[in-house]
Parts: sequence; structure tokens; C-alpha cells
Amino acid sequence: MTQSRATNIPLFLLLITIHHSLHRLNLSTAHITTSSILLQYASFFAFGGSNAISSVDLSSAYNGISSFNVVAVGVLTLISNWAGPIYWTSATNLLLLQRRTDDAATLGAGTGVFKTHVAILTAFAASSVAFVMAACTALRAHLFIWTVFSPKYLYSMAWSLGQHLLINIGLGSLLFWLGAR
Amino acid sequence: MAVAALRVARSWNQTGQKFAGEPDIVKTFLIPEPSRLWVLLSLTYVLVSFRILPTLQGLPYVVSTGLTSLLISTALSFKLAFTVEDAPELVVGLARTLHGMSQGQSLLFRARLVFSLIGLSGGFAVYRCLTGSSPRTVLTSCKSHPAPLGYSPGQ
Repeated sequence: MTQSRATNIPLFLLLITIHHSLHRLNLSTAHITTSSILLQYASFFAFGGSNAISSVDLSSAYNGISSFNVVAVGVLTLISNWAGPIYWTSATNLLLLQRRTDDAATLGAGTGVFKTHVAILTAFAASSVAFVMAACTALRAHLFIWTVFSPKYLYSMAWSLGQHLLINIGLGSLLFWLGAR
Repeated sequence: MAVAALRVARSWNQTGQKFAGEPDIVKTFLIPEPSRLWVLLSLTYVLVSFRILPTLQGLPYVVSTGLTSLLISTALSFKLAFTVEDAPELVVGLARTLHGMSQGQSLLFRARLVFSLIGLSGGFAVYRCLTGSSPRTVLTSCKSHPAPLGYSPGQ
């Protein structure tokens, strides 16, 4: 919330409400993952992101930095634009931990909840990036393609490398490991 | 209720080149009457503070309450100062009076203070997860630690 614009912060109230309802529903792992993917994208667009490069919000990119520093500015830009999806990563982690304790109580064994979650996430990310790459390759000689597809390609990179690898898998596994101890 | 919240969230900001300039909640509801924005914002921060408080269980009650209120007040003052620089038309009335009361520290200092406090609380929660006094408190604090702690105040 420190990184989001002031007008976007009440959105977190809504996101917390949705998360609370999901918590009460007691979903299966696949349902949790699907809801997570859908809500990550939905909250990304609700916060003001779009598929145009011009909507990348740099207002919070320099919070606490006195001079330009590539890594810090990049990280802060990622956090401020992907604030909604990052919230859903940690919220999904709570849902997965609840699923894990429920499964351990009924089935009596570790059922690899997080591995299933990561597998479905990776399948989604991989197939969407594959389709974008296929479209770019097939249409690379088209006259107007790159005006539309270069922002899409850049956003796919940000979603797959940044959100998927770093945050969903990296941060998610860290939180899950901490919570499962 | 979740679906209703989702529908409201969908019309919060209007994005996309086809619909640019169309009315959305921020434009038509919050900007004409900024006091609504600050009410909702304070409500959100207070809610987050209530979710952070249980994760600091190992500390004495006074310390954890003090740390949480310090974190929330610095975050709020940073948000006020940032909005004064970013969108001054949103800071009117009570919000501007509150901003005037907080002695004009630079944005840089406030931001670093907020980040270091978040890191401190997060580090403490992680430490409690890893060492843990009794299994039950560790379980509850570890489970509620991730979502409220660094990630809501940090984003």
C-alpha cells in the first residue's frame, strides 16, 4: 500500500473482502489456483494497469531512493504496478496453507498442495507466452504488428519473468515454506 | 458479496484505449469529494493494522501495539506527503491540516522510515516463524504473517 497511489488504496478493502469470502468457501487446490490467476489479472487491471506501455505508473518508483539505481527503481516499479497480483500471491498462500492443514487432517499425508499450485500456474504462464511468441513469429513480416505486439510482448515478459517466476514461485514458495514450518 | 466487491473493483479505474476518459469510480466518486478518499484510505490502513497486530504476538503487548501504530502512522504520513506532491487537489480540509502537523520531513526520509519499519516487523515475524515459542502460536502467527505483513503495507 505504500507503493500504490492514494486513490487505489481503497481497492485493497475490496480485495480483502474477496479473499475473506474465498477463505470461507474451502476450495480445492485447483480451484484456488484458478481463482488466484483470474484475480491476479483482474486486480492488475483494476489498479489501472492496461496492455499499453504508457500506463506503467512510475510515480512510486523512486520512493526512498535519492539517485538512480537500476535494481531499486526496477523493483519499486514492479511492486507498484503489480501491487494487486502480489497481494493475491500472499493471499493465495494463506488459502493453500489452509488447504494443506485440511488435507493433512482428512487424508493424513502431505499431498503436495504447493506443487500442484505451481504446476497449474506454470502451465498457464507457459501456454500464454507460447501463444504470444507464436503470433509474433507468424506475423513478423506484417506491417503494423509491432505497434501492437511489442507492448504485449514486454508485458508478457513482465508477467512471466517478474510476476510468475519471481513473485508467484519465488516469494510464494518462501511464504509457503515459512507457513508450513 | 465477493462478486459484488469484484464488480466494484472492476469499475474502479478505467483503462484501455477504447474507453479512456469514460467515467469510473475514482473520477466520479473520489476526486470531486476527496474526504471520501481519505475516509476509505484510513479505514483500509486501520484494517491492515488489525491484521498485522496478531502476527507480533511474541512481543509484550505494549511494544507490539506501539510498533503497529508507529508503522501505520508513518505509512499514513508518507501517503499524505506523497499525495501532496503527486496530486495536491486530493489533499484538502482535514487531510491538509494533518499534513501540516507532521513537521515537513522530506519524502525520502518518510519513505525510508516506512520501509525499514515494514522490514523490521516482517523480519520479526519471520524470526518467530523460524524459531517459534509454542507450536500453536507459531502456527497462527506464521499463517497470518504473509498476507497482512509486508505485502499489504509494502504494496
